Amino acid sequence: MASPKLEATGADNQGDAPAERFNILLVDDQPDGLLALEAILGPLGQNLVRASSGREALRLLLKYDYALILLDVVMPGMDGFETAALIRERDRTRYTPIIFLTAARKGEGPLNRGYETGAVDFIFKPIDAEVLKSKVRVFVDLAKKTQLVLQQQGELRQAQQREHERALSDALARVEAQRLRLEMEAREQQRLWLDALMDQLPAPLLLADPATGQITYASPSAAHLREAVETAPADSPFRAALRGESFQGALVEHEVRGESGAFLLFSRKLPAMHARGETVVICTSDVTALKQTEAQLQHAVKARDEFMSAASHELNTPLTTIVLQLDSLARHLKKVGLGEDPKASKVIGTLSRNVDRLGRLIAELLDVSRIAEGRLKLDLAEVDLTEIVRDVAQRFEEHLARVGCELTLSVDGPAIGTWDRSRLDQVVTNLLTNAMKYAPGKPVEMKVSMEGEVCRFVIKDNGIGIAKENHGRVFERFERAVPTENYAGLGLGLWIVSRIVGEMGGTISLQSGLGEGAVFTVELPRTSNLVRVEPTEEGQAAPPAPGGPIASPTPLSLLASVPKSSEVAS
Amino acid sequence: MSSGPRILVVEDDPDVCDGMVALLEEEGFRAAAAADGLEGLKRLRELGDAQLVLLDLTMPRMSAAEFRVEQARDPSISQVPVLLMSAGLDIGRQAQALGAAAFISKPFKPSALLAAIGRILGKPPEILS
Repeated sequence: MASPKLEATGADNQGDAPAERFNILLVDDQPDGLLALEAILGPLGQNLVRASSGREALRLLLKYDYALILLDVVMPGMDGFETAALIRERDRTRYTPIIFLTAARKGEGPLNRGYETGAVDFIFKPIDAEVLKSKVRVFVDLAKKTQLVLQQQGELRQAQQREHERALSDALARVEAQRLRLEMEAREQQRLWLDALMDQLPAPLLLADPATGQITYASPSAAHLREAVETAPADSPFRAALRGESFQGALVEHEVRGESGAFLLFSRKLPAMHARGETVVICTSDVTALKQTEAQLQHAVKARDEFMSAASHELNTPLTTIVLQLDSLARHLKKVGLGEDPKASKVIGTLSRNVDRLGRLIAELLDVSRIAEGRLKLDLAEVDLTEIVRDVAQRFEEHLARVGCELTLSVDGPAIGTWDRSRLDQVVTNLLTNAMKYAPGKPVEMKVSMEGEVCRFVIKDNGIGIAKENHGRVFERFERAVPTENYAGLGLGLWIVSRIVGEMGGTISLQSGLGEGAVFTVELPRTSNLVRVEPTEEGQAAPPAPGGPIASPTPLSLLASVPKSSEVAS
Repeated sequence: MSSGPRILVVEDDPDVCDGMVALLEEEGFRAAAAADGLEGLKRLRELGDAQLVLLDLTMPRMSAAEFRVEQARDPSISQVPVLLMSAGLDIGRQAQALGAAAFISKPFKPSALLAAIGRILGKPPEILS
């Protein structure tokens, strides 16, 4: 219910003491009546408000709140009951006490109507002043008490509200504190987890502040690395890493207290993360041992290369003398008329053949290590395989005759490709000597053909053949598919052949069965992806059979390579 | 005495050197010999008419490379072509680097050597019996 507030009259204090003056509405069409009421009620000290009609009363009721309405029943226009009914219709004034002023006596009809419309009391005219005063006083008291109650209710509610808010904010504060605590715990756990992880890493790991270049953390295994980083010269990648530069496995060599080491350096800047600002992480792979091994290997390879070179020189030099002396002897015999002497010829021939064989074996031996490492260098040029095959055939004409191998050569014409002449010669020679060794007395056939971009060389013998299960092995190094007590040899020839052929992008295949002879087929692409060496002169990339092809210079162009000062003027 | 072209053999192995000189003389060349690069340069200057040098790659005191550098500096001998010989490996590349007119690997067939000499000197190769 609306609290009886005092408006225009002033005291708007709803706070401390209840308002002392309330509004009382006096409604009477008779000015005398109103006067009389005012006179009676004046001493009560309340604010008496006059209305001369029901309409006016309603209007005034809109403006203010009243503790009580004294309503004359008999009025022109709207009578008191009608007015009361309307008053009761409004929410604001639904419960405002109404006392009807009426001349009618108790028990008569109009009284019922009054109660129906919500009167709380009647005052009968002529009005007894004391009765009126007393009744009005009651309602004023009621209004006062009501106001007080409402005030107290308000205060209580406010207090409750404040208390509620305080409790809420306390609760929020606790929740927040809890949350912060949990967060800190979580962070702490993360930190411990991370630290434990980093401590556990076998690889050295450093964290640094890129702004200052200071190392903020070093894993237990990083003591050595730390020292290396801290003592690194200004231009070292370590320094750059400390500043935040990124490295992905860069090789860094350094010296710490006289000991040299090598690391693969990995570093990057980590994004900022709560407690830690920007951090640089530096980790390394210690490759010191690897580097040392690499150095040792290189040293070993160099030593071996030097040895091979020396061995080649040492073995080939006396052989050269033997060849020259044999030649000299042959000439001498001819000079003294023993050129046709059978015994002399036989001896010279045997010596020659075996010197050749020795030369080939030495060459094979020296070849092996270089070929094995893939350091076979090819001197590529436009080369005619047919020509090479003819050349080899001619060179071995005598030998073939002696072992009784009748050679048939089938060629279509030139077979030109980008190959290494001397190495191809080696291939053909090897295959032919094999045929002669394992198929003496039987015919040997060599065939060269071109099919589009592929050149094919086939050599067929009718010798002891190679068992199917050994086909794979024959091309392996040191493998002998024949009893070593029957057939001498180092077992290198076919391996070298297969490597050379492979190096030129070709293939070699074998068709054979025990006792069925053997067919070796070499297929070479005309050109390969190999880079062509400048064709200044052809020569021997390695010494094949003695007396093999040597450099044939193009006359003037090569002589021009020797500086001719006399030509400068021209 | 033969009157053929003068050929200087620069070779440190005495047997090989003797053998080559004998062969050349047999074939009508006038052969001279030196045991190393230093001596070779000296002989080359002294001879004045050498038309070819058979130069061994590996020699003491002065390597073939040094020989060639010195030879190039001296106009009186810089024009003489060189045939490089070697008992070692990868001679082809080295010959190219040294600007040799030709190269041959040891051991070589005498006929092959003679054929090469013939080609350098512009004469047809001798036919051996």
